[in-house]
Amino acid sequence: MVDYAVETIDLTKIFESKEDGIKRIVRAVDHVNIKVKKGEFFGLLGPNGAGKTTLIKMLCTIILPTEGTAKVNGYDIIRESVKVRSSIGWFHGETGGRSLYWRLNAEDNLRFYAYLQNVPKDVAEKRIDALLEFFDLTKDRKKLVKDYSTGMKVRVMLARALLHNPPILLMDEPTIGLDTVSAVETRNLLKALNKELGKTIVFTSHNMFEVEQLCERIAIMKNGRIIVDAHPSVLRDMLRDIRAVEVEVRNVDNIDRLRSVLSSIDVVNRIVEVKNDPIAISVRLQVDDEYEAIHIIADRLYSYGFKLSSIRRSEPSLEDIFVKLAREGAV
Amino acid sequence: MNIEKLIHILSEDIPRRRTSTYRIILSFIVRDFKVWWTYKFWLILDIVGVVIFIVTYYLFSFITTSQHVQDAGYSVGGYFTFALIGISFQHYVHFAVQTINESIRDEQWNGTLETILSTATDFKIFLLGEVCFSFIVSSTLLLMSLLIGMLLGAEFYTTLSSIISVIILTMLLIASHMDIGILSTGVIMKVKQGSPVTWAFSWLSQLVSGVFYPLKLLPWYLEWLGKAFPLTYSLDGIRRCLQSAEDLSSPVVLSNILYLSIFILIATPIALYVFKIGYDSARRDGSLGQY
Repeated sequence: MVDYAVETIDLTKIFESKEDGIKRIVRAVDHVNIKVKKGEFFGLLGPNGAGKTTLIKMLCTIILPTEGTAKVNGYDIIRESVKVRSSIGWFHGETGGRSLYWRLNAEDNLRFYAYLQNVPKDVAEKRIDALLEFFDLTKDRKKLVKDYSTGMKVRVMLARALLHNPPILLMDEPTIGLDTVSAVETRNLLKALNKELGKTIVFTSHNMFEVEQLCERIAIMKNGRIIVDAHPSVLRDMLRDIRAVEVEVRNVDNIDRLRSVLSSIDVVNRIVEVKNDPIAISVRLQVDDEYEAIHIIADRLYSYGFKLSSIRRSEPSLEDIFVKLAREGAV
Repeated sequence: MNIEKLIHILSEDIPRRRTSTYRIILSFIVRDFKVWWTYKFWLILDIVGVVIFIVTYYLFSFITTSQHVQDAGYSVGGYFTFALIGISFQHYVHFAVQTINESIRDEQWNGTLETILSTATDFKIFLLGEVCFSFIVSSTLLLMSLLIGMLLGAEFYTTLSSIISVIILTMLLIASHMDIGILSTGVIMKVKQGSPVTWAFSWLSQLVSGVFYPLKLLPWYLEWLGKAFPLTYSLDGIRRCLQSAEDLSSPVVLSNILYLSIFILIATPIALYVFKIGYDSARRDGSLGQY
């Protein structure tokens, strides 16, 4: 029998709300079944609003499921919540540095949580020193958290999640708000914790390449459902034949006209995404040959009088995968 | 520090045992003290507020007669001692009614509630930890108020038996008002706004429970209404002990204790039930961290 660190069984969360007297039902997590083996580095990928955070919060016992259940470290999230919580270290990046006591310094924040997590005093002090040093916070350890930058706050939150050395780490967007160097160091640390100490890590992100780089298995979530659960090589195969170009156009009066011109270009297979920013409109297009397409698209937009500010080859994104899966009838 | 060294430190074996409840409670107290200490201006204002309030009633006492106080059964100290007891024990009323919901709202405001509730600490210990520092502050303010009052001439009977009786009545005052606090926190967790229960209770309680004047001065219907509030019985019992040297052997003090005990026996399960409904509802709605 396989020993799972995390196992969800038809886990479902439905939120109900009322807007203008009309009842709205949102299926944030919809019959999710995932099995994460002990010691596995598991990636959960999805755009904002896909349901990743709700799923993680149910695993932390913070949110009760509407249907189904889950086991974390063999304990049921509904009936054995204290045992579940003893088994996890949770990082939630969506708070962007909130979730700390801003009027305490970093070491007081960590010390407080160490006691709540049953870490003995002498061990706590040693670990706090080590974590603050690793996250380059030693010289600022006495400074109140309110005076920290967002990146520093995120590093304290990461230290807090690791302080009690739990067997399972639920890392919800752990590199959000970090500068490039800190993000790389954090990824390396998580990799080492997984390899050296056999930690099970559930890692959520909307950055495909980050997840691909770290995880042994990746699930992609959209609209509350798992639409892909596969080895990263499968994801790589999916991406292999995706060619994309990103176009940025300024001073557009009529977006529909821009769409229609772009759709009419032979080399454009489909419009994947249109972002309407205040300064410019950027459009992501799937094409067969990006190098050939760049010239043709630029010429056509110019001939129709559009002010093209940039056009470039683009790495495949999550949206490309969703479009591809939709085309194949998987979503 | 390199990764290898950090991993070595994190992986060192530690004895797997729970932190003692005392240690966890102490860590809440230390946390709250350190946060409170950063608001030094408020600390000064709190103390100044207490002094001004007491001095105001001290000056009032010169233009009021103590006859009504004596008619109500409190023989020494006059109006100033009467008002001082009402004012001082209000610190415990505020503590018991407001602390739980204020603490939870502060945690929500800080964004720390969900993080704390995802730790290995039991929810009941978390609640206990949240209220301890506030209890210490309230006790300090109460003792400070009584001390300032004594310096201004307030008189008390302080026999061992009357002090023991006051301690018992104070514990019952806190427990009965804590029920109101727990109940209103349950409501707040569900409706996500200031609880009308707390507001109405605090306001009415102060008006009709004899905090500033003897109940007998009120019109009959307000006097009757006052009898529904636990504060009426707590204050009456405490005043009888401190102003008339009564103790647990007094039938009136005993009947006050009996009323408060019955109130607690009935209100506690209701308050815990409403709190559980509110807490579970917030977990179902995913709104535990929202204020």
